[in-house]
Amino acid sequence: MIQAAGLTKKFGPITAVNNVTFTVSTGEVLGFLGPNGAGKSTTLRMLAGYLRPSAGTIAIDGIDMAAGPIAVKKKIGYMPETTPLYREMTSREYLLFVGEAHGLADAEGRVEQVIETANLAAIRHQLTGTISKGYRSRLNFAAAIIHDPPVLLLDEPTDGLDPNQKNEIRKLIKDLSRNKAIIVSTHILEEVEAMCSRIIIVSEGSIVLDGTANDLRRCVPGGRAAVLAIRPQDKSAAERALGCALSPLGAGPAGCERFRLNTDERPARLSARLAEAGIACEEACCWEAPLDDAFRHLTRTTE
Amino acid sequence: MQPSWIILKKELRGYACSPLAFIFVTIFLAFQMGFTFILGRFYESNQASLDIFFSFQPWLYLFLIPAIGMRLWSEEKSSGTIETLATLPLGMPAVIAGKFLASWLFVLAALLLTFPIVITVFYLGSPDPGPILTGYGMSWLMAGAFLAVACFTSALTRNQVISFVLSVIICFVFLLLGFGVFHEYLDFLPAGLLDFLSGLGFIPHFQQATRGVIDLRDVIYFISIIVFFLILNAAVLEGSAES
Repeated sequence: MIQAAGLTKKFGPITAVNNVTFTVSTGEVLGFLGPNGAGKSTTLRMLAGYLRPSAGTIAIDGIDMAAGPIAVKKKIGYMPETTPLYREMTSREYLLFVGEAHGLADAEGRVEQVIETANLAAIRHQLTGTISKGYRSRLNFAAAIIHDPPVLLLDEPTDGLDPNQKNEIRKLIKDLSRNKAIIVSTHILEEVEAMCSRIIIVSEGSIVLDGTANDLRRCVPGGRAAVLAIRPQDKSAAERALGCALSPLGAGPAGCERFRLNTDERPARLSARLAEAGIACEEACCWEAPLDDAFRHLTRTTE
Repeated sequence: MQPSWIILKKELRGYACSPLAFIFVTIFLAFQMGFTFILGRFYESNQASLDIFFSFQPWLYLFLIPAIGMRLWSEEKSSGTIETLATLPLGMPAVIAGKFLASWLFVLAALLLTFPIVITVFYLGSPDPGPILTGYGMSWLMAGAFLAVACFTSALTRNQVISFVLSVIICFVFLLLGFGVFHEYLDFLPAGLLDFLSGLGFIPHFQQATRGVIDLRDVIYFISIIVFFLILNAAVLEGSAES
C-alpha cells in the first residue's frame, strides 16, 4: 500500500533523509522511530505530499505521488507533528472544512462520527485556538481519519495526551489497522510494543533497523536472555550441560540462586535440558532488555 | 464542491468572524471619506463627480491592501496550517485562487460600502453615472493588482510585517512608474524601455476609467498584473515544497 523507494531529502548541504526504502502493507502498523532530527518527520512529510523528495519515489496504492499528487492525497490521512489548526474556526467547522476538502458527499455526517470516535463532543463548538494540547492532538487525529483513508500517517499522535487518552488512541489505531496501512512516528517505545507490528529505526536520515521489537532487542548484546533459578552448587554442572556461562543475578526461591544466560532458546527447553542432566531448576523465564536500552544502543552506535 | 470554492468559503468565514476585518473596513471608510471631504475639499470643488474620491484611492490602497494581504500566506506558514493545506487533495493553484478571490471580494465589499458618497453626489447634482461605474470597476481591478502583489510577498515570509513592508515597496514602485519620476534617474536606459516602464504604472491605467473611458488594454493590464503575481506566488510556494 505504501511504497517508498530511495527517498532522499536534502536541505542545502544537509541530508535529512538518505536513501530510505520500505513498504507498508494493509493491516500493518509501522512504528517509525529515531532520535530527534533523525529524519522521521521529514520522511512523513514527503509521504504526505508536503515536501518534495530530492530523489526517490513514493507510491500509494500503486499511484505515483509525482504523477498524481491529488489522487494520492485522497488516499492519505495525515496528522502533522505540530498539530496545526485554524484558530478562528470551531472544532466542528475545522472538521467540516477537511471533510469537504476531501470531497465527502456526507461531510456533516462524517464529522459527527469522528467527533464521537475521537471523543470531541465537549469542544465541538469551541474555537480551536482555545483548546488544550490533548484536544488539539485528538482533533488532528479526527481530521486525519475523517475520509476513512486506506493510509494513515501519524506524526506523534499521542503527544500531549494523558494516559487514558493515550490508551484510547492506541486502541483506535489498532482497530483501524485491520484495513489500513499505518505509519506512526513516536518517541515512546512502550507505545511501539503496544500497537506496532513492525519497527523502522532511522538515525541520521538512514534506516538502521527494519524489523520487530524482538529484532530490536537482539541488536543489544545480551538483549534477549533466559533466567534460571538453580542451587549455587549446581552452577558448574549446569554450565557444562547448557554449554554456556551463567552470570549470577541474586537470590532466588527455595535457597536457589538466579543466573542469567545469553541465549535465544526457550526457558522451558533449557529447564528440560537441566532435568536431563539431573539438575533441579526451580524457575525458568525469559529476560528481555528494555526497548529503551536497545534503542539507545542502536542509535548511539551510529552517531 | 470545487476546491477553490471550499477555500473561498473558509476565507470569507474567517473575514466574517474576524474583528480585524471590521477594523479594516472602518479605517478604509474613514480615510476614504476623510481624504475626499477634507483633503480633497469635495464641497468646495463644486463638481457633481467622484474624481476627487477616486484620485486618492491608489494611495489609500498602497497601505490598506498590503494590510489585508500580508496574512494570507504568512499566517499559514507561521501557524503551520500550510502543512494541512498542502496535504489536502485540493491542488495549490485552486488554493491560491480561492484565497485571492476571497480577499478580493472582501475588498469589493469595503469598496461598495462607500455608496453613501454616490448617493451624496446624486443628491447634490446630476453626475454622469458612466465614470462612476467605470471608476468603481477599475478601482476594484486595481485593488486586485495591489492584492496580488501582497499575496506574493506574503508567500515569501512567515513574518507578516516583512510581507507588509515588501508589498508596500513594490506597490509604491508601481505607483511611481505612472508618474514618470524615474525618467530623470533612468535616462541611461533606452527610450523604448523607459516608455515600457512608464506604461507599467498603475495610475494612468486607472485614471482613464474614472473619466468614463474603459480601455480594454487597461483591463488586460490589471488582469495581467494579477495573473503574473499569482504565478509568482505559486512559484514561491512550489519552492517551499522543495526546501
